[in-house]
Amino acid sequence: MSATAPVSAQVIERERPWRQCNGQQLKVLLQASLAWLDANHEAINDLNVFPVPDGDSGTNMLLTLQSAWNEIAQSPSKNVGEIMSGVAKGALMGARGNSGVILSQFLRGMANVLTDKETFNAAELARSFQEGTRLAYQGVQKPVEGTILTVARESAEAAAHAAAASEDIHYVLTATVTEAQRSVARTPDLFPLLKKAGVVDAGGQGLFIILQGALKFLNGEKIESEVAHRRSAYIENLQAEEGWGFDIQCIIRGQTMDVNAVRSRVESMGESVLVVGDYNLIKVHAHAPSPGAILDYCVSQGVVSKVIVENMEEQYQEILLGQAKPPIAAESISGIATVVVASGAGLQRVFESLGASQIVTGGATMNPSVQDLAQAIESVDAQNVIVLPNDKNIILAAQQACRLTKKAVRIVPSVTIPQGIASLLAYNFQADLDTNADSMTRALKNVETGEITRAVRSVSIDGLDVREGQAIGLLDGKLTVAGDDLHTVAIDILRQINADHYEIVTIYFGEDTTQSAADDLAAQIRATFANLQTEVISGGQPHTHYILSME
Amino acid sequence: MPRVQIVTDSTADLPPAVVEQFGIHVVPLTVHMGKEVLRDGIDIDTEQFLKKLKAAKTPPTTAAPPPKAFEDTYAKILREHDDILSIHISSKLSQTVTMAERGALPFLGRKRIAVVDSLSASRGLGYLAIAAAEAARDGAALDELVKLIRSLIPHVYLVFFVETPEYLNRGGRFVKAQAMLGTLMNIKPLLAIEDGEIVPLEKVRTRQRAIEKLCEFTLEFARVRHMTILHADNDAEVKELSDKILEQLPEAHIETAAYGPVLASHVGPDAVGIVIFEEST
Repeated sequence: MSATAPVSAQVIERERPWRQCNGQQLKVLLQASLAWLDANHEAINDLNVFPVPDGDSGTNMLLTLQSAWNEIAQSPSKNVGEIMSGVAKGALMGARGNSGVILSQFLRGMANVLTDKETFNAAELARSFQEGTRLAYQGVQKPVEGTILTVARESAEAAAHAAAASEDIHYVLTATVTEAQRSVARTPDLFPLLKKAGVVDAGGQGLFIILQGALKFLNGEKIESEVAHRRSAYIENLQAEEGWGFDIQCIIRGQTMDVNAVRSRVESMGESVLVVGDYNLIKVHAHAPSPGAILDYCVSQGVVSKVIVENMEEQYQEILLGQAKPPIAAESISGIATVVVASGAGLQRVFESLGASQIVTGGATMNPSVQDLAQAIESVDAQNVIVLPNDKNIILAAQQACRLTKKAVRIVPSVTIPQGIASLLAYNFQADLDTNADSMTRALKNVETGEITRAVRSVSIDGLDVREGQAIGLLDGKLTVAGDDLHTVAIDILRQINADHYEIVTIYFGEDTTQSAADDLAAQIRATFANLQTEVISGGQPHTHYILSME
Repeated sequence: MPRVQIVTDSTADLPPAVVEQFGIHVVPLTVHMGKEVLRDGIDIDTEQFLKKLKAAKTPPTTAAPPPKAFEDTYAKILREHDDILSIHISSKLSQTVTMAERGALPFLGRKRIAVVDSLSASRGLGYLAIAAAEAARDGAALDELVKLIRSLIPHVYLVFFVETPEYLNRGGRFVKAQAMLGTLMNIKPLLAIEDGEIVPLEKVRTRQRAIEKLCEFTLEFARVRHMTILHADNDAEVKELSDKILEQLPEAHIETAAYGPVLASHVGPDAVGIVIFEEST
């Protein structure tokens, strides 16, 4: 998507009062919403309760809405039902994080009401908001008030009231947005954690911004934004080691692709190029100093799947070290594949070495979309799949991804990396899908997770005053310790759980720290807790300096 | 003297007293150490082998007995008897069954030798050999014995964990087991012999938990005829495991055995396992 032109350069030709909205008019409103969300998404990200980077709601909602827009950006349809069903589909595929998934559910509910309609009127708009709210609540197992759900519900009620009084869509939208803003302001009263952190709910604010964007446009206010083409952080972060570069493989599916054109373009970007296929399926294999350009190009040609990007320097080193033999994929034995979400090259390798069939890049700071997860589930060579989300903000997206596939999928609700690893260890090659899902879920309790990082903002929660930049320790996701030194905080976390009763602490050190620092920490731990074994593994995860697994 | 004589191989890990008590004939596998070729259990025992395994630069390897070893054993028995049941280590772990079949060829048509693949190893094989010897002593005929043993094979279970997958890797033969190999972490894979093959079960991080898993596995059986803890010179963990089992099953009779050189060369010197021979009725 590129909403490059200032949205206000366009106008909606409309009657006053505005009684009927058609597909193209809805499209322009949506574009305005997207542009306004883009302009505000970082501010929404900052409405974070915890002083750790996690599941940025603004980014997640923006990427979700952008995916919705992409689905209809080229559509000339004036039929509001068609546009809205495209929006719902695009939103679902692109949904990231809990707030993104809830937004996609809201849009799906709207689409259900507007299905087959050429235009909508004020009453239908209000009804679509209500149905959107209903589906949003339905998509969450334990709805919590003081969140985007409350904002959706109260705004929809205001819309219904307004629609009872007036046939003017502009009037109804104005009433909706006014209530959305008030509702957002009330979220801290409903959700104590927000109040303590002194913020309003980020997802609710996101929904308000989306509605407000459309209204601002109707009011003739200027909304300027340039939504840049966003590449996945994964690709941007990959930097070639000198000399070897990357081995890149993928499959492109399309309708009218030109194999020769694809080949000559890929040849211009890489070496050892192998491009084979036909108009609807092309397999690409190339070596290049960096994978981004080739993958971007492939994505522009069709639907890309089975992406394999390997650092050849690493492969070379592994061959030198005699570790090149890949483990045999577990699914070929058991018929059950595992799809795991993790970020950090080291953590991904750990999961691979434990037999994970497919790794989806993502984690606290970059939630994978429903589509990313669905594609991973589809791409594995098994009809039975177990998903390990490894983050509380990815579980909902994983649940949505399940609905997009005919495969039998079980989600083991792991919320930390150590839980994911403990769970994968319990994977039994001889057991069936449900038995495995059960025992893997039970295994989540086998570990305690400590996360040691630095606070990204100053905050006061649960009697703990944290300054920005201070070392903090989370125990099973809960902020527990703050201090000046990362290692001291790590030891404190271990004290909190009586680490002497555990056998082994595994330290996964992140990209912001070093092996030698991690080795020092391990030595400190052994000196403090005589009975503990330690193991140090390069995790390479962003932001979290140390992930500690106690078992 | 029973009409049918029972032959097995040294991987059955049967103690000499049991061999003598049941009149079982044992053909040794061979251990290759540098240029030396040693007979399992005769020229080298488990303890010596484990020392060599840990110390040797080029690790020792094992090989099935040559056909001639079987032919000689069979010939000696057949001077006084007509029938032999020859039961051996899983054909998926060793060539022994094939070698026994070749060794039996010269007697074809004159005497009856049934070579049976136990689909097991170590005491799992041992228990089957003993069951065969008991039935033979009670007068069972060869075809009855073959039927009996085939029916007992599914009741023999062998589960173990290894300290490191390194030794399984060396063999390169255990394709399925390799699904858990090459791991970056310090993992103790839990493995089982199933249908004669070493298959992965799950993975644990510490020996402590591996012992707990073996105990859990044992407690799943309602009726156990025999059980043996397999180890290599690891009395502390053997005691821990047997204490854990006895806590839940105070009546249990738990045997222990050092696993022999052949299994040791596959699983390494620090494995612990358990063999369960379940009541079949």
